[in-house]
Amino acid sequence: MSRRALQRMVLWLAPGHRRSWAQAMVAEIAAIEDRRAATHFALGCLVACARFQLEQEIWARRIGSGLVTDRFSILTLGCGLAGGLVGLSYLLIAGAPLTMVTVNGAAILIGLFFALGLRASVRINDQVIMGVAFAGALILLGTATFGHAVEEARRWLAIGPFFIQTSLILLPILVTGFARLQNPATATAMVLTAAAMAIQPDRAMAVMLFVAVALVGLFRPGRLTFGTAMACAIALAITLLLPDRLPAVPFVDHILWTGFAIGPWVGLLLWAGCLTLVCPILFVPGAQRTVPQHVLAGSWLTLIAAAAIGAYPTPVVGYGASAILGYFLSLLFLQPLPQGRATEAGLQDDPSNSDETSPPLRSSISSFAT
Amino acid sequence: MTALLDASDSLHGYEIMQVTGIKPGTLYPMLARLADQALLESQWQEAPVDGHPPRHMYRLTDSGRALATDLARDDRGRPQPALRAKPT
Repeated sequence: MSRRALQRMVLWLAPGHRRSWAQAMVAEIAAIEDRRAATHFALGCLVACARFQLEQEIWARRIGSGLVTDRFSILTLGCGLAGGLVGLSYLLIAGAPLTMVTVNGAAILIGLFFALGLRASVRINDQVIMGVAFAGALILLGTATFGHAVEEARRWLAIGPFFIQTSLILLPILVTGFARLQNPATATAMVLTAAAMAIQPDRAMAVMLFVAVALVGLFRPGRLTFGTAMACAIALAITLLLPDRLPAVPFVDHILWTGFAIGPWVGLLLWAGCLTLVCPILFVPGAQRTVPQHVLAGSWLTLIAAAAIGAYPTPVVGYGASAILGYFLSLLFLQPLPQGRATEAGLQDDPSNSDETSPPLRSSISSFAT
Repeated sequence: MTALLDASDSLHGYEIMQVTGIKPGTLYPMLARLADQALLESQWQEAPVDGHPPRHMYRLTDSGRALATDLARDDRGRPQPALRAKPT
């Protein structure tokens, strides 16, 4: 095998983080005058590159192990997948258009892909939470102002042939972010979000937002959380005062009741699929439950209740591509923070200006633990 | 590390291999780990002869030299392990 071919193999085999070492090896191979010695050296370099690959594999597993040991996230992923598959089954049984089935299936895959990708690549800190909060609030305000309207309700963004309900995608991640970090910036973003829900208007999402923020206020009482909850309550009141003339959409709204018309087991399956979404928290011991976990469960339970009462999308189950994405994306802010952060959070005096790193009670106990 | 400590100047990979007898498959991962821990620094050096490619040269950093000196001192003070008879 020629020296040049071996050099190419070295470059090809080396992982990205060791690219400069591969270039050094290639230069070294080129510099050795004796052809036989250069070949032996190049073969050794290939072994080195294989070891670099192995090193990368081990590193990747270490990163992944954070997710593996985070039982709540694994359960949330599993429950989202189960709920999504129930939704797909319902669409097939109910004879929904193939486009709906395809979009729902694609949303499950995209949601899983983004959830795992973001968990592995994004390191959560205060700036990320505040950035997402403001970006999300602005997108929701943008949707409320320039989005696609049906019967005076302006809740959708047209992306190609698809109409995305931005609130279903963004609200879960925004409320879990606020549950994690309450400061003037995230509170302002929540107030902007509440304003967007009032302008759209969207009763189901407004009540979800209010319940989520009220839960945060319950666990993190303070002026900031109380004020934010009040703003969300006002937004909810506005949505209740404004008319909501949206008709029920087949395969989307009221299916928790109309499913029983197909068969009792279909209706029961839909309820089971919906309630699966709030189950992950039941597997976490009471004292270890965090505020974001409570908020996630409370938010989705509220949406299920709204779907059961009014003509609002049934979360994940049914034609719920946006909700599927929202459910999976909220996993981003459910990841535990690195161990060192717990001490920093424990130093904060104002409980409402807090960064959720550990369960409410345990975080204070841990300050005294040896 | 001792080879790099004893060298008066930077060494290139092939040279380190010749001095230590460590094959490149083991040598480069070792060098990479030393560099990760800031014990080793490297730089590209143009070849003294025209037409020859530049080479990557390695030398210990100050902390690398301190560690290598400590290791060499410990090694000198430690008695050589006697070969044990293989249990039968």
